[in-house]
Amino acid sequence: MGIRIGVDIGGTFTDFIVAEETGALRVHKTPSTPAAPERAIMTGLEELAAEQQLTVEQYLAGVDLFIHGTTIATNTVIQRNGPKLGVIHTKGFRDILLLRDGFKPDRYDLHMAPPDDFVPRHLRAGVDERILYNGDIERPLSEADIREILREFRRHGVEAVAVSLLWSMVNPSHEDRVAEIIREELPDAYVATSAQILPAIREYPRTCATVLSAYVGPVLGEYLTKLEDYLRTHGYRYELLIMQITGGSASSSEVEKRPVLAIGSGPAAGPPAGLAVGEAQDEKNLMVIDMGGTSFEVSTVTDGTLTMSRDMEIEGVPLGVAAVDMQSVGAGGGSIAWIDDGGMLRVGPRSAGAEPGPACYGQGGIEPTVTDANLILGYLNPGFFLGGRMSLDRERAEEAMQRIAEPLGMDVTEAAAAVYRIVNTNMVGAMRAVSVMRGVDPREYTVIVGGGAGGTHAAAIAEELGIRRVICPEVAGGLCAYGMLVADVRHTYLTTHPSSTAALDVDRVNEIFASMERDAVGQLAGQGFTPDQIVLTRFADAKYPYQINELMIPVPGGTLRADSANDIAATFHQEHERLYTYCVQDMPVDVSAWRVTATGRLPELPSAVARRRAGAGEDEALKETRDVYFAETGRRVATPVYDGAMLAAGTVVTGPLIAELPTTTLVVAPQHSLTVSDTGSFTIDIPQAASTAASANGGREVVTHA
Amino acid sequence: MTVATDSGSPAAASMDPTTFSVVFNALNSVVEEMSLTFEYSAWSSILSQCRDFSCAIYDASVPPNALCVFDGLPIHVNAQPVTIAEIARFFGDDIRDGDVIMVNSTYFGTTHIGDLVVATPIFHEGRHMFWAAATGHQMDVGSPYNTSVPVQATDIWKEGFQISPLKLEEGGRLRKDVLELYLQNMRYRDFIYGDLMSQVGSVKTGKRRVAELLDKWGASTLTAFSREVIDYADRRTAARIATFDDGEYHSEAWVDSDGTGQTNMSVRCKMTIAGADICIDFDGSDPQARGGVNASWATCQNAASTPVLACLDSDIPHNQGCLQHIEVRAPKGTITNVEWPGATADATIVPADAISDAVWKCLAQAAPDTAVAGYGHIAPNAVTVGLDRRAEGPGRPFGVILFNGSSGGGACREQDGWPLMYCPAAIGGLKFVPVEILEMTYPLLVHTQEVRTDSMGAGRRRGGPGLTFHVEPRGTGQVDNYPYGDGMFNPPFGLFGGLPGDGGALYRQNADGTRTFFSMISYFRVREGESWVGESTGGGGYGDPLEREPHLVGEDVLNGYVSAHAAARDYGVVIVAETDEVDQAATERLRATMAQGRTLPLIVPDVVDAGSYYKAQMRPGDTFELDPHPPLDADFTL
Repeated sequence: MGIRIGVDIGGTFTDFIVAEETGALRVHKTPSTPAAPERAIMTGLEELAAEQQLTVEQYLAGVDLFIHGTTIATNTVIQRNGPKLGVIHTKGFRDILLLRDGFKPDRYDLHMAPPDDFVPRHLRAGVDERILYNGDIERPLSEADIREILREFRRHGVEAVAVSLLWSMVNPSHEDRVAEIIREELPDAYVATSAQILPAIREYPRTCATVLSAYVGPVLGEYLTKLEDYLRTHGYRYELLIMQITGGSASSSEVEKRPVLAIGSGPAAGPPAGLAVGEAQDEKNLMVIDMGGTSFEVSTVTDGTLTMSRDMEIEGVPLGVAAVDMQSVGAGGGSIAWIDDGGMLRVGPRSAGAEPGPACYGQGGIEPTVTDANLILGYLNPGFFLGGRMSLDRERAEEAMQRIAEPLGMDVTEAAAAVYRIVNTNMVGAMRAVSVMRGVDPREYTVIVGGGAGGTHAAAIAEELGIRRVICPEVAGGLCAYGMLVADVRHTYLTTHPSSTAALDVDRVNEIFASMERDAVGQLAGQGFTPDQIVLTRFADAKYPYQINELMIPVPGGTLRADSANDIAATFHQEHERLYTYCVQDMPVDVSAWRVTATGRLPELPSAVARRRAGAGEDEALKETRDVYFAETGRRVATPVYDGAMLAAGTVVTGPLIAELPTTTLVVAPQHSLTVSDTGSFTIDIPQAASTAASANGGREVVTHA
Repeated sequence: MTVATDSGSPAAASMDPTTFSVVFNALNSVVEEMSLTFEYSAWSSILSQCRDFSCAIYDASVPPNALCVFDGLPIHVNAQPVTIAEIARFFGDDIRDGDVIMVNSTYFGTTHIGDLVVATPIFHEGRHMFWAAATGHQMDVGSPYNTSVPVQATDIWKEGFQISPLKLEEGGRLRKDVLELYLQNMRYRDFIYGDLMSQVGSVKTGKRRVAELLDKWGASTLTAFSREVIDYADRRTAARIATFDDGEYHSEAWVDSDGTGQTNMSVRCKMTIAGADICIDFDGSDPQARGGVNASWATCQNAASTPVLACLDSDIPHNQGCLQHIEVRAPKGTITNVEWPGATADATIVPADAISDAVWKCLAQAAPDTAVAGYGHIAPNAVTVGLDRRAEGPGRPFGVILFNGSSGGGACREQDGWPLMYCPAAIGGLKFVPVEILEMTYPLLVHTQEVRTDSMGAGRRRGGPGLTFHVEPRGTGQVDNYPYGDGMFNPPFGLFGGLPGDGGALYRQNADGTRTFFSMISYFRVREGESWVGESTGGGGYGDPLEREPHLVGEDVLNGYVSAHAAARDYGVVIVAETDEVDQAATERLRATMAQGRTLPLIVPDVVDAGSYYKAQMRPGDTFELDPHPPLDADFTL
């Protein structure tokens, strides 16, 4: 087993995480080059090679896996700098992107800008053709019509075309023919067809997945080609792997077939990273959080499986594809605290960002932020922020906090404590959204901490949800880059074939599964996975007859028998009851689509135990004693501050304490305890008795709004 | 915080702001979870896809105070407290832990018979503290007419199965007798059952979560919160209304027809604004109609307050603290406040939209920057029913409410209007059934769901477009359609020089090539080989069309929202046919000519029955039917 490299591109730095053959992890940073992100990758590789007195060719010859989380697809959508796009719909339906699902997010805001239709209407055309729900052709494709549309597209300089016709997932012949004609009429245009991108029922999400694919595809393809050429000519022997929104990676050629999967490529590595960290400590039910400067992301892992959703969006446009179920809220270190016109204290979603940043950065920010609150409360060390790369100005933080403290009738410490608590409730809301609202009881889960601000808030928000354990890995600040090293290769397959458990054509369903699984195994084998590394899981999109929304339920592997229909129905009844409080036992179950997820398991990184040095005792690791405010005590208490990196494995310390790590600061409240594990992680245990009731009721009553 | 002092709120009730904010967020999550439970698990498309439902938590005081109503359909949420108050009044001290109570009768505080309200009390340490409630539009109401919006019904007995407050579960035990009585009286038994279970599941979810919060924080915290959140909404509402111009304003709005042939009925409105309070009085409105276009009281005060709420900041909680600033008065026996046993099947839709329009027109005078031009009324949607004969066997009854072709919204000062706003009662809070789901689930084939050129009112900001929705029955033999809409005779108004939307039309494409046009409330059958087309109106425009930036008009022409003809006629913008580009010089000349001697009206149209689009569409041989009544065989026995 050689070296693995994960590359995550950030706004400022391009992060390399390198797993050496020994299992040792090292982080290398090189300035990002936004105009041509691959340049920073090349520079970084040259630097890594040079450190070992090797040429890039020699260095890459020793690399087994090169996994990349690319921002190029996400940024293309956010910055809207993709190709000029045309969309071809079925005649009569050119407004699918404008009409969406018809729902306006905020009913009472009558001054909201009308919906963004992504492609101007004159470049969305309806072609004369029609296929019915059962695949029959109602109207044949009019080739004259499509050629006329394409002439108009050419006149407007269209560079990429998305084709999304009704019912193409049951009969793709019209879409295929349209694609052929486009290649004749617009030979330089990039083409994406919906049956290939997402062969699932519901025209709006399918169209979105196709439009996004056509929009990011050309840019992504060009970028990946450049990067692959470079790697190949510099001695890398395998296929470049790209992190996907599914939480698994795939070869770049696979991702280029369905470019929508490359959107959210970096953040999607968070959940698999959390899973690896959790599994190292035998925890399989996890809530993985990542709190950075402007936003907070959370996702769940249940019984070792990432939770997926079909409702993820970018810039308000649904991705359509099944993606890691990640909830994001505007809560980060830079989130600004403010008082609304009813006198309520709020935090976020507006953020001071990196410029000017929190007031304590001393870069001109004057509004109070979460980081300012954390500094005032004593959680952050003014002289040791970002591992000592930056110092913080407490006076400026207090000046800023005074802006809200005064109208609230509080002193700055009380105001800072309120900001800390409220930003925590915002994050708790996001955590509830991916747990209780999905029928998941968070109390059975362990929090895995990521992000620079994560360690400071993790235990407090966990406690709010009744969670007992928080694990912060050594690599918390670079959780996503780490995730790329450990995420499995994953491909997903979907066949739309409406069926009922009352009359299941078992032979046909077996054929469908066999065909998808053949493709899956072939593809993974081609990438060098051995049969024992390949895991296939099956799902069905199931619902009661007349019900509109499906549940994705697991389907047993192997050859289905006649009575398998009953098993599928039983699984559905059970899942429906768990989620929605009731089921209808005697009702047959409709299945609209059959799915296969194929996972190629990467060899595990060499045992992490070896990674942790012996370390020092707590006395030696003690940096200072600081006055720190805790809600539990209602006042500042003298609190030991440790250099976390120095603490030896097996150390157990009881709070209150602060442990400063290179990329985050852990706040351990009174009654909580901190354990340093031999895997390099830090575990905070929260005793059950320490409930939040005390802080909600027992806190000093403050008269406000007056 | 001088605002707070001015409002005279009881400062003693204050709780610490951190706890307030924590509880506030926690309750929002509870109500969101109730909504998701409802949406994901309901069966009929009206609930699971279109979201025609609302969930909320109230305290147990009389009248009940809303703790959280964030995620609702506007026409439900301010009416729900009226229903809960009726339930509380009806059962008095006979409300027990584990009860689940259902009610659909408008004379017991619901909006209309289609909206079933399910509520469950939440007890803590033996005391009834809160309610969890969910309102949901049902696929059937057990009316002799085969629709859940039987506008043709002229009294409550024709309207459907009236449910006064009734315990479906008592002390935690399902009452099998009650459930069976309900199901026996409904069509589509299976999915009426599924929908009911999902609605019950939703309120039980709310109950469970609130009980957890009570255990965690104690009753006193939540009680203090319920007082505090009312003060909070009170302060924010008062501050906003104080910015409206004091004075007395008058307006009029109209209902097209009542399903029995009565047309162009008036809602008259007098709005008085004094400081932080608004009084809305519908004295002088027309007597109540025969058909079901009368507002129940719950609907009236809801529809009247919704436009005011939409002029506030959208995140102000819509509880008593907020609503107490809006006093609504409506004389009994008018279409704005029905008298027993008058019919109200269409209450939340047709009279509600006219009531909201009348209030909008007053607000346009009192708060011109905040107000909006007219929204299209609910139209040309229908309840479509028939037998699905695609599979072998006897044919399976189906029913669906199609919102796919709904009306556009009005423009405001800064923005063009949205498409698919449905109506003032929903302001965009519905969804439509995706075409593929529709075609898979029902024996229907959709030909068109697309923007209709020139359907919206011109203006400096133009209205949102209306749509064309063209459907054909396929695999059923025939379907019966029960449209329940409005706004064709009386299209959405334009504001401050903006023009009205065109009003739309509704017709059947007959096998012989002719077309039969219908009023927006009607009944019509469509056989295989025929099809029907709903043309919804766009919204009204805001401000002088001659002030619209020529390049925006040019884009609208290129994109097919506006025709080149209308660009010249309404906007004074000349488009060069070959290039689709704006002729700047010709535009300046045309605009200068058009601007001469012109005065900009505040509101157009300001007269009843101004809609003419549908008339202009009729060709020789086409016919028009006003409020046709269903025949005897419009049922599932065919």
